[in-house]
Amino acid sequence: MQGPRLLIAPREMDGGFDPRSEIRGAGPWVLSDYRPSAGLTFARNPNWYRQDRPFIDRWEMPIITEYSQRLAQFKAGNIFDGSLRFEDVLPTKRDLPQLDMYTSEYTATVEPTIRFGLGTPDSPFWDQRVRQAFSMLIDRETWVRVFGAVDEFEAVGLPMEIRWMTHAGVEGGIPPQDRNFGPNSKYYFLDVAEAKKLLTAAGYANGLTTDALYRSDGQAMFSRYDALVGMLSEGGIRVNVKVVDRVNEFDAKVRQGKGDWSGFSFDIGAASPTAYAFLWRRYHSQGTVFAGFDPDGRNRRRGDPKVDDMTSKMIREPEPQKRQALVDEFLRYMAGTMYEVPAGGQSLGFRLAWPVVKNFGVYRTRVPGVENDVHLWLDQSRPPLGSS
Amino acid sequence: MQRYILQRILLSVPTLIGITLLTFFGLRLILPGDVIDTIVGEYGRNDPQLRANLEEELGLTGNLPVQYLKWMGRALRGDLGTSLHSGRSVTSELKRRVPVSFELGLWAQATAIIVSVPMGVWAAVYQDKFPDYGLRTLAIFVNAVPGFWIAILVITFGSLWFQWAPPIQFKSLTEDPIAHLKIMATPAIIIGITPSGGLIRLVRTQMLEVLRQDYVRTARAKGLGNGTIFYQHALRNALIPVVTVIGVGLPGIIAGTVIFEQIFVIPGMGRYLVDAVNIRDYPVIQGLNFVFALLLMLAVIIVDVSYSIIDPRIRYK
Repeated sequence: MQGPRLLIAPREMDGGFDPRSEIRGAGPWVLSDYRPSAGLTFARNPNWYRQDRPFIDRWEMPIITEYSQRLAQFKAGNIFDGSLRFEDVLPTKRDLPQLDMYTSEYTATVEPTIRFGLGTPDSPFWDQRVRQAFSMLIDRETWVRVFGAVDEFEAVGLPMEIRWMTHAGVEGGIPPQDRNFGPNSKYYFLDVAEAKKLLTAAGYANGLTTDALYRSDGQAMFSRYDALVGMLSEGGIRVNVKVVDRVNEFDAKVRQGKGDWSGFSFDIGAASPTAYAFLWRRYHSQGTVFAGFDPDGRNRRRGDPKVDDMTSKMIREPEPQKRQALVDEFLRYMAGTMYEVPAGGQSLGFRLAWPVVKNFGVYRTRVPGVENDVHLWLDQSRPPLGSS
Repeated sequence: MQRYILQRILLSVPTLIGITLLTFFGLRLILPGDVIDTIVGEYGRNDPQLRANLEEELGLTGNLPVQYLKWMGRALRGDLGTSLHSGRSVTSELKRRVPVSFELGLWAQATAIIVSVPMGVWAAVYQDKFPDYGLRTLAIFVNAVPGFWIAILVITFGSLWFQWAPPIQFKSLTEDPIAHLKIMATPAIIIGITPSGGLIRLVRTQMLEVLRQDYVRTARAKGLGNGTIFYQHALRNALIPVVTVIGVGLPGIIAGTVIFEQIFVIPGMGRYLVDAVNIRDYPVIQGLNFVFALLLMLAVIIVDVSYSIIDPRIRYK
């Protein structure tokens, strides 16, 4: 039963101690020092059962919220993994050729998925044609190439793989470019002329004006949102941007669908590998983050019975291949309805780390936390600690 | 003088109470959002029993005036409550963080004074000549450029050109004084640069006014040297308004360190406040506001008292 969201906890946690201020658990390292706003220090757990591994004696994890500071610290060798933006990977590698370069992973949770506000009867997004047009105005290929620095990597001979976001993330299901996706794949491809025809058929021959809600804590993504807004303007969709508080406006209106708002907003995409569970939470009418839609345009809390049926079947199916087939079928259906528009995509880019860290990026699981880090060890003869 | 100081302290009390009232009720009635929503997140949002349990546990039940009086009663005993998110004592966190921010502010202010006073005097002495024009231009430039932008440039180009980055592993003064000073040096200098622009111009203006006074002409006629005239006679009188600005500006500098604490990974009050506001941690926000208000009032009282030291003609009754 143990999983990323279901933790085995000690019995004492039920009233025995305060987990907010005290850490108890089991793992290769124990928290030896916590300096709020500054950093954490983990010391090696001498009682961890894997005695045959060269676990790192001490982890220092400074909390660096400012990206330029993080980049500078990485270049100076004060931190060994800088989690650099894609556009900084090649320049940094050129400045410091001794760095090791690894392929990165897809992280779909940071890619935008557009959600529509259906709280008012006159919202244009009740009309499926408007939603489809919306999707066809997005140049996903260019978006990924720019924000994934694909051209820069390809120019130096590095192979790049591009995946577009779907309702199941970038890896959760059949990609729209696959010939087996079906006729609804056309709604993922850029086609400004067709989008304008759809808008005209929906009664918006002169385009439309709508609001876009940006999450207040998502400033790092604003430039990407602005790019999408620019694409929409080519099809006549004019946008008023509003930055709203994350917890109390965005979550309540967009993620919970409780507000009477019209317009659209950017939410995060699906999380793999449990895409099917995510899809239920998000698109089933009883899901915890169901934002609200329905096929008839009458009651957004009703949901789509077909979507409810598909997502329910997914989570009940124990056989992985059959479950994947159900997810793919769901994606084909959602491509036609576009209740939400998966807007972005990712390239399988690269990341840098100092050579001192061994097994970096070798063992990758989808489980966050220590599972990826437990295999790391330090070769102190390598930079920046050594010079070989 | 003691009577004056006591009077000022007593007069500060209603102001402090007013600030705590505004903060307490403003957080709960005006600021959008609810700390319970922030804690439960999307998973518990639709669970009313969970909300009720949390409200009980965090002391957020009952009417607001009663909650305020309870908080005030504890605050007067030095207990500012516990963080709603981390469970840590606010007082103990502030004991750790206030000295850090205060020290950073003092270093920054010292930088501003060391830079701006001599430059202001120099600009006044060479009025309408090249040094004056140059320094006034510099002062305007420094005033116009945001300090956090300078900080990011220093970090970015430091790493690009010199493979250098400021230290980020914070050490307290008692733990490792040298490492501590290394951590504080870069942000203190950068923070101090921004107010120095205004101070240069203020010192210059005040000096020009004082240098035109009769007693300065008398001092020159008596054959006193420029150094004695400028620094012993003129500057002392020119400093009175400057001291006001420096003294009243110190809490502002301390409050303004929030961005620099984020950039330079310094665990001070500013960063604590930003984190608390983002997650609606009421006791932390209230405690910090209380401390900021207290600091500001103390600074104003100290500035007033210092007038009588700088200018013997000023006496308080």
